[in-house]
Amino acid sequence: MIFKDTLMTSKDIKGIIILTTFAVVTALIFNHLSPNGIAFFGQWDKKNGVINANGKEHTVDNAIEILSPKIVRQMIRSHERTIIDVRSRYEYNQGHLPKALSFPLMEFDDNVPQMMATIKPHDPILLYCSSAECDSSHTFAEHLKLMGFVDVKVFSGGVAQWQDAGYEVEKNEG
Amino acid sequence: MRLKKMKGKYTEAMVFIVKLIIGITFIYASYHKIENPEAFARIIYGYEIFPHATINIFAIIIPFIELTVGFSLILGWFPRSALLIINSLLFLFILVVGFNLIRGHEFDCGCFAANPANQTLSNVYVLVRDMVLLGGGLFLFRNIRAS
Repeated sequence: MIFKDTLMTSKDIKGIIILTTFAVVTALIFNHLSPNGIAFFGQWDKKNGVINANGKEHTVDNAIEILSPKIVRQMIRSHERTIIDVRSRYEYNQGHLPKALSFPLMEFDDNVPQMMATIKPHDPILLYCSSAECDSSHTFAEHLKLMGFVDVKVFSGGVAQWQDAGYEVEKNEG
Repeated sequence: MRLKKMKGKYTEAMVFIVKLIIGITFIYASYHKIENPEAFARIIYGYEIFPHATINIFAIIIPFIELTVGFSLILGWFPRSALLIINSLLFLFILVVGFNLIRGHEFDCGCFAANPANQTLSNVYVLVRDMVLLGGGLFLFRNIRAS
């Protein structure tokens, strides 16, 4: 009967419950055991810093973030920290925070000698990337910590929040 | 009589092929999401539709639902139930992708690759593909007998 076959039967409903339960239980067990597992709740509010899923292997540490562009501006003016732009050289040239140095994350290994000639492990560092949706400044911070840097902070909002706050960016023409 | 028999065999073959296509598609689509739930969670965030509190839960559970129903359909364990879930998921995907296309929001569908650099399918193509799959799912549901 075609008509009967297009309707949901009690066996279909039972199957949905069994399949869904199996999938959910397997998902929870796998997520718990997997090294790539994530927490039940992530940090998805840009107001609270760089967004991330709170994975077991995640590099985002919201505790080292500076959320306010105003504080970052004060730091730049007082030369309190060395500012590092971790985006690509092209993005840096398009517009970067005043006095920021360019050390792209993508070229990290190649730039280590030049970087170590410019900054020292005891120097206070402030890293940033494009916005609170990128975590490359946190990855960069991890690399620096492994190299012995002790005072590394991240400006969570990056260039996007800096410009939204109405602050000027420096451009490198050519 | 002979024609009816031939039509039945043709439908049977079509059911087998469509079942394989949809089942494999769902299994394949689940793979990278299971491998990298963090990237999949980011993709769900990118849709800008779901409440923040649900993003990780969806990222953990949806891939395993896709995997389970894919295998279930191919192996014939509660195939109609699997189809009901598949068709509901496809309907939801169509709604979500369609909604973002209408409001002009750029996003990575995250269908077959968690890395946006590998995302070559345009979102319109994704919408059409999901519609075709849903058509296949409805065809199967109509042609797999309720026992």
